[in-house]
Amino acid sequence: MEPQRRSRRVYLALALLVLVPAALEVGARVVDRVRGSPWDGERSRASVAAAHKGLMAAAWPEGRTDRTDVLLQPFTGWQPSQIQARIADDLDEYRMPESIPVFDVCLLGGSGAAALASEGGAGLVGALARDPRLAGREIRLHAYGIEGTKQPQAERLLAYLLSLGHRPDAVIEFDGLDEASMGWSNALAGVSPLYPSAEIWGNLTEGLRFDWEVVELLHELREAQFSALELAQLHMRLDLHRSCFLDHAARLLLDRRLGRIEDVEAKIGSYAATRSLEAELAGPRTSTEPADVARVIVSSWEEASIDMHAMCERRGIAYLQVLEPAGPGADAGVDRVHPGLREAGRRLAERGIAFLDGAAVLGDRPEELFDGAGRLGDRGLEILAESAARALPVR
Amino acid sequence: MGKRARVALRIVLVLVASAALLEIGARLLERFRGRSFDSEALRTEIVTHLGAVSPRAFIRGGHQDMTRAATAPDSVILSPYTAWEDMGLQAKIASDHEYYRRPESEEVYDICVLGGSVANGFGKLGAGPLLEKLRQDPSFTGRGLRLHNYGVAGFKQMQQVMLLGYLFDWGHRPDAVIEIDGFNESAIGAGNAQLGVHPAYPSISHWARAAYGIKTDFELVRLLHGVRVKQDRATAFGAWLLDSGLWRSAFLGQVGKTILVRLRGAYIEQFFAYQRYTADHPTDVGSKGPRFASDDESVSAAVVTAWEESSISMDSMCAARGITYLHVLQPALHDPGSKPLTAKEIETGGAGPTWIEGIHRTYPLLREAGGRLSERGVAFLDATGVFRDHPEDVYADACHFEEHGNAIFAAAIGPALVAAARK
Repeated sequence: MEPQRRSRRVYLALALLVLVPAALEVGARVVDRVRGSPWDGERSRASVAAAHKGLMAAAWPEGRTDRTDVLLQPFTGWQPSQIQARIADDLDEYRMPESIPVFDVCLLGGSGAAALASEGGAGLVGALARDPRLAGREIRLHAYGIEGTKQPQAERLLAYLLSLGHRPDAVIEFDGLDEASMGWSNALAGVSPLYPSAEIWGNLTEGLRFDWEVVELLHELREAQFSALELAQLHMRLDLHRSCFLDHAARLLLDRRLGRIEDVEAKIGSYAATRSLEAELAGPRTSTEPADVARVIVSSWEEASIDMHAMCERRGIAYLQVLEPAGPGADAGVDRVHPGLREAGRRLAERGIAFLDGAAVLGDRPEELFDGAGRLGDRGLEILAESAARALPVR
Repeated sequence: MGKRARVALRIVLVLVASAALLEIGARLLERFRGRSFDSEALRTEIVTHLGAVSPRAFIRGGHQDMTRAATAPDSVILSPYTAWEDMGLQAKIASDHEYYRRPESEEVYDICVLGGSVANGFGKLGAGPLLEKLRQDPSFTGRGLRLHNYGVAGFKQMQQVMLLGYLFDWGHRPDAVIEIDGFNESAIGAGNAQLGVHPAYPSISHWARAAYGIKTDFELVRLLHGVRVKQDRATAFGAWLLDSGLWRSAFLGQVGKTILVRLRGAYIEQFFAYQRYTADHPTDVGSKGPRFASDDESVSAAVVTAWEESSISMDSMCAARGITYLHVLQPALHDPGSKPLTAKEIETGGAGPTWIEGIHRTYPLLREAGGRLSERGVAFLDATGVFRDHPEDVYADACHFEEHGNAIFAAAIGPALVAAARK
C-alpha cells in the first residue's frame, strides 16, 4: 500500500473516531430535546447516585416480617416483649413479704381476656374487694391475657409462671372464642388446630425463613445487586453523566440490572408466599374432617382446663374457667365449635372445676352487649367480670 | 531447522520430560509410601470431596424438612410449646393420638417416658429390661405393656411439663408417666446462665439451632452468599477435574485434588463462619427469657425451683386423670461419689467446666428437693446412686449409659413404678 493512501485511511479512521461519538452525542441530545425532556447531566448523576446509595444499603425485599414487638417464646410460641418484663417484675413482687396479705388474681386467655382486663378489670377488682370472703384484702390483678393467643398457650403460660415461682391466689381463664375461631381457621390453612394462630406463628417463623431455595434466591438477588452496584460505581467514577450518549447507554444497562433485582425480589416474595408449609408451622397431621377438627378443638380446650385446674388445685390456688359468650356475627369456626365448648364446660363443672358459662350469665340480655363480630362490648365485659368475681371459688 | 525452531523444540522436550519425570516421581512416591497409584481410587476421592461440598443438608426449612422427617426423624425443628422437637415427634404424637382412641389401647398398660437424651436412651435400651421387670409383678400379669418414648435430646424442665400437657391436649392417655431428668437441668441450666439466658429456659444452643435462619439479617445473607460462591468455585473446578481426565495422572490428579481440597476448605471455612454467626446470635431468634440473678446460688435456686415446680405440675396433671407418675433423678458421672469410675469412663466422660460445676452445685439441691417432692406425695426415685456398686463400665459419656447401665437403671425404676402405681 502506498504511504499516502495509508495516511489517508488513518486520517479517515481518526476522523470517524471523533465524528461518530460526536454525532452520537449530538443525536442523543437532539432526540432528548425532540422528546421534550432536554438532557440534564446533573440530574442523571443524582439519579445514579441515589440508585448507588440504595444498592449500598442493600435493602431487604418487601415482605420481611418486622417482629420488634413480639418475641419467640419457647413454651407459648411467642409473647409480646413487655410481657417478659412483667413476668420478672411479678416474680419479684411474689417474693416480697408484703405480698402475702395481697390477694393476687392472674387473668389468662386471649383477646377476650385482654379486653376483660382492660374494660372489666376495675369491676373485677372492685367486686372482689367487696367480697366478704376476702375480708378486705388488697386485690392485685395480673393481666396476662394476650391478644392473638389461644389454648393451649394459656395453659403453657400458667405452667411456665408456676414453674418460675409465681404464686397467685386465684387464676381466671377467660377464653373460648379465639380457640374456636383460630383453631378452625388454622385447620382450614392446613395447620394443627392446637397450634398457635397460623397467621401469627407463620409470620414469626416463615417470612424469609432460609431453606435451600431461599438461599438460592437470595444468592441470585445478591448477584443482581452486585452487578447493578458495579455499573453505578463505574458511571460515577468515569463521570458518564457528562456525555448524553454514554449516560443514556449506561443508564439503560443500569435500568436493566435494577429490573433484574426487582424480578428476583418478586420471585422471593412469590416463593415465600406459596411454598409449602413447613413441619414446624403445621404441627402434627391429624384428620381434617370438620367433625374431627371440632372434636379436637373442644377436647384440647377441655384438657387444657383440666390441667390448669390441677396445677392450681395442687397449690391451693382458686381456679375459674370462664367461657366467653358468642354474639351474633361470630365467624364460622365459632358457630361450629362454641356449642361443643359449652357442653365441655358442663363436663368440667361435673368434675368439680369451677366453670362459668358467659352465655348463661348474660341470659337473654339484648344483643347490644356484643359488637358486630360477635364479641362482648364494654358493658358485657363489665357484667361478666363481676359475675366471674362472684363465681371464683375463693377459699 | 532454524535457530528459533530448535529452541522451541528443546522447550517442548524439556516440558515433556519434566511432565514424565513428575508423573514417574509421583508414582514412585506412592509406591515408596506402600501403595501403588490407583486412578479409580483417586477419582472416587475427588467425587467424595465434591459430594461433600453441599450445605443443603445443614440448612433447614422448606420442602427438605418434609423429606427429612422420613429420612432423618431425629432432626430438630422449632416447636411453639417445647422450643424444638424431633422431626419424628409430630408423627408420633399424631399416631399415638389415634392409638389412644382405639379400644385396644385400654387393654394395654401404656408407659410414657419423658426427659432428655438419657430418657430417650432409656426408652430404647432400657425399655426391654423395664417391661420384663414389670411383667414379673402380679399386677401386670397377662396385660400388654407398651412404652412410649417421648425423651428428646437436650430437653430439660420445663420442656417436659409442656410436652406432657401437650400430649394430654391431644388426648393421650398413658397409664403411667416416668419423668427422667436432672443432668440437663443442672448442666445446661448453668450453661444457659453463663450465656445470660435464664437457667429455666431450654438449652439456648439447641433452641437457636432449631430456629436458626429465622432471623434473616443482611449479614446472614452475605455469609450465605459467600457459602454459595465458594461452593460454586469448588464444584465447578471439581467437575472440570473429573471431565478433564486428569485424575488418570498420578501427578496432575494429585495436584488437582489438592486444589479441590483447598477450595473445599475455603467453602467449609465460609460455612463455619455462617454457623458461628448463627450460634453467636442465638438471642436474635427470641429472647434470653426474663431477667434473673446470675450469681451461682441464684442460678441453682432457679434451676431447682423450675425442676421441683414442674414436677408438681406433672404430678397434679397426671393425678387429675388417674395416671401414675414417677419422677426419677438420673445418675450423672460427675456427681461426686455416685460411681467408682473406670479408666474408660474418665477418658470419655469429659464435660465443660460450667456443666461440671452445675452438676456439683445443683445435684445435692435436687436430692433435697426430691425429698420435698416425696413429702408432698410425688412418687420420687433418687436414682443418683444406682451405679455406686458398679465398678465396671457403665457410662458412654458424661451422662449417657450403655446397655448394661440402662439395665441397671431399669432394675431400679421397675419396682419404683410398681410402688407408685399401687399408691
